[in-house]
Amino acid sequence: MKRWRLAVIVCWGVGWLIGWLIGSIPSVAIAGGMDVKQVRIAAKVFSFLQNKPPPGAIIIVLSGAADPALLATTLQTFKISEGHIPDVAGAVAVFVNSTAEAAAVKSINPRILIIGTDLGCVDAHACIVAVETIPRISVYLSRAAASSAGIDFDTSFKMLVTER
Amino acid sequence: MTPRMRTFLLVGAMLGVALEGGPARSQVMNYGELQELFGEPITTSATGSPQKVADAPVNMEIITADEIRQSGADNIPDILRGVAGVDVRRYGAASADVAIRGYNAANSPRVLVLLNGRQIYVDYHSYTAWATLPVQLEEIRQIEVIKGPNTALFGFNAIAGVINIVTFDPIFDRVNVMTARGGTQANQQLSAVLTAKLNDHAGVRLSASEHGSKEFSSSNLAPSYGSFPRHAYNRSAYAHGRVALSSGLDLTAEVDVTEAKQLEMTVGGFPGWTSYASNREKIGIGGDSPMGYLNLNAYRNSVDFQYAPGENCTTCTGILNSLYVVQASDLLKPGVNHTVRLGLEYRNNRGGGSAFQGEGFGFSVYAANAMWNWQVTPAFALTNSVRIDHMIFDYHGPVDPSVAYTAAQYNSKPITEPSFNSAAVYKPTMLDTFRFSVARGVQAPDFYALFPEPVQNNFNVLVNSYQGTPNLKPTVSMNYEVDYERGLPNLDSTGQLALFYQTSQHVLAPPGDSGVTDAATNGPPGNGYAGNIGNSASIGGEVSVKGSNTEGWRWKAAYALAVIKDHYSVNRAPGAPDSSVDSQHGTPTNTIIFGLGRSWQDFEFDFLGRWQSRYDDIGVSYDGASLSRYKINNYFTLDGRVGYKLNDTLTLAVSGRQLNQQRITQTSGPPVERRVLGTVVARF
Repeated sequence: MKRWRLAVIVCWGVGWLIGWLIGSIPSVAIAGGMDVKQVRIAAKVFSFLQNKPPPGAIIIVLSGAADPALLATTLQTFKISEGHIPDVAGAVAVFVNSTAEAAAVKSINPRILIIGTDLGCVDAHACIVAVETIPRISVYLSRAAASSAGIDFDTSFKMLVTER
Repeated sequence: MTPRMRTFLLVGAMLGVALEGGPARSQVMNYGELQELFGEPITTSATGSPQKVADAPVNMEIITADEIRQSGADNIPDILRGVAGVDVRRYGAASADVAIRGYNAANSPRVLVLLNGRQIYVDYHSYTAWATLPVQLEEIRQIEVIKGPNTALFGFNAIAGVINIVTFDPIFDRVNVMTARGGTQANQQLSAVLTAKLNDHAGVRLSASEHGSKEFSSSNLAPSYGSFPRHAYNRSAYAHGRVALSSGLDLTAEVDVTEAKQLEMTVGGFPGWTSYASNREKIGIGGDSPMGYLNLNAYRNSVDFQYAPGENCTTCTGILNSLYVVQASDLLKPGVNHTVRLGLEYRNNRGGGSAFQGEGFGFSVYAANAMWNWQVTPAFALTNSVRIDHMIFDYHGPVDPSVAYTAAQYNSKPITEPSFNSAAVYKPTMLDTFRFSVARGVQAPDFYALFPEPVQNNFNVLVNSYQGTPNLKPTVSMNYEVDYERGLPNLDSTGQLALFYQTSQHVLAPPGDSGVTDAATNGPPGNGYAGNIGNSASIGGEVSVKGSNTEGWRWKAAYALAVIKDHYSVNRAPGAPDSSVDSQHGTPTNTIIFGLGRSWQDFEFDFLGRWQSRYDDIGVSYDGASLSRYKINNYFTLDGRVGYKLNDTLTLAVSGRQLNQQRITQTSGPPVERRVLGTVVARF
């Protein structure tokens, strides 16, 4: 009986080890603009704004930053359009490709919600939010950038994201 | 005011406020949206702060709504059987006790069960009366199972673990379900869950059920149970409302009423029929402020229970336990890497009822707690929670002349106990999580142990000698644990490993055990004292793999080990036991669980196998003989469910418990029978 129990435990341990080894194969990160999953995650961020933009508010997607059509299917109450940096003047949010774009946007509209894919952009306090999905979903939030833009999020959201 | 009137008034008041409200500016956690955002379950049960389960500083397993449905179970203890480290003793079709990492017993005292954070646990006899849970399975978002003490957040009795049942949100989640079940043991159940969403900022969810079944077929019963009535039932109604005001404040209210009757193993291992009538109310208000998220909750639980030797309660003992709780907390994030939660709590717990001669008793608890989470580096976090509880007693009125103490003596020794949870969470990669934790948990003595109780037992005998012992110490548990979790993306799985070492000091034994003496009076054994019978230590762990893939397959495999060594003053001599408490032999050492399921077209197939090694149960046979030790052999159960989605509205399912065997002796009570259920679910 004891041998039988030992065998079960050993089998379990071996199974565990194999699983661990297989799972160790690193995943490949995606670079560039937002993929579908990132867009969906980023769109959900708007639900946790303390002062939600009114219906019809303008969201600008800088070229290559995300798929405006996909975003429009998720954020149906807003007006989504692809645009250039000067277009952000009247917008409430913008999707950017880089820290440089974020800085340029900020100089034109300091109250705008800037969303990117680059953690460095958040660390530079140029982007307010950055979204990563590989290997796990992570949302980064620049407290300083949000504060200077006068943007705040629900407490539960802030507890769950990684503030920088 | 009747419970029904209170329900209508509370819900009515909330709806009134809702109609006056402006646009929603919700602050309360929206589990659904947050889970969708992060792609994994979210919890507040670890620290009081919202966290992803992978980041939580405790060992936690989440059972999702899908898993609840796929289990095919019609009650929560059966669902918990699929969790490694959870021990379930089933006594019949209705009644069960649940423990975490061993130490299970009749009226299991060491696990704190909560519904949306409010206590369901019955303090009078320190156990969970699962039959009084008002919640329907279809309205549960998730069941959170914490293994290890969490007294630092929830207070006394969260000594071995916490089970928090979280329901869907009345504003964000639309749940409209009607369910009909029927099956063996004359099982019949009807339930309904309806959500009324008034607008974007107010909603109420209502549920009700009626459930009846026989505990056993008559052919299954030994002669000593020959005249035993067999019909168990429970019925419940539950309302959960929420209003998000334009000012940013969030109001919640919950009201429920239940009635139940079932065969139970009552404290000390006495089989008997217990009737319950419970009603509970909770109201909460919360909102953001410059000082953080402020929250104020108040709730009341009232449980009236009667022990009877038969179905008709003509000679039964009636006990009323009322609990009032007020909780205030502030959750704030003073820096990007620091989260702090401060809390105050007051509890007032009263006992009484028809069993008593005018005396009244109870206790008050004043508690303060604090939690600090420090994200030291992106990969390393420290969490420390500390709490102090001060418990003072209040006995007034006459004391039976046969009792050794005066009223003043019952009130003379308050209990003050600290508790803490400290954990370091290290995530060297996005796939790996290590958790090192130390925790101190406390289990307070219950009413039954602390105060005299002039009761009849289940055999119509006036015992009148349960003295109550005012100098009891609380049981204190220390838990040392290392956990490792690894995401296995190429296997679509997650693996978990937990190793723990736990000590329990001053373990409590209930009054009535012949081997228990009163340390203060050195009173004679068997005179109805509760007692601290010594210390115990346990070592063990769990290893599990769980996953699912896009082709509809899902699987789990787990092994749990719990080795316990008692150093008790009771049950030392060979022969008949002199106490119902024997943790060492009363815990199955090994448990193996495996599950496999698949969603295919409109079908769902799920099977769960569970094997546990032998253990000893100690109980009293129904004919009133003295305490006996029952050797429970190792046993295997296979549960299963096949569901078919007829259309978007209707789902049909057939499910079964212990399909592999008609009868299995699982406790000192009668063998548990195979149960097969047919279910029709209409969602609209």
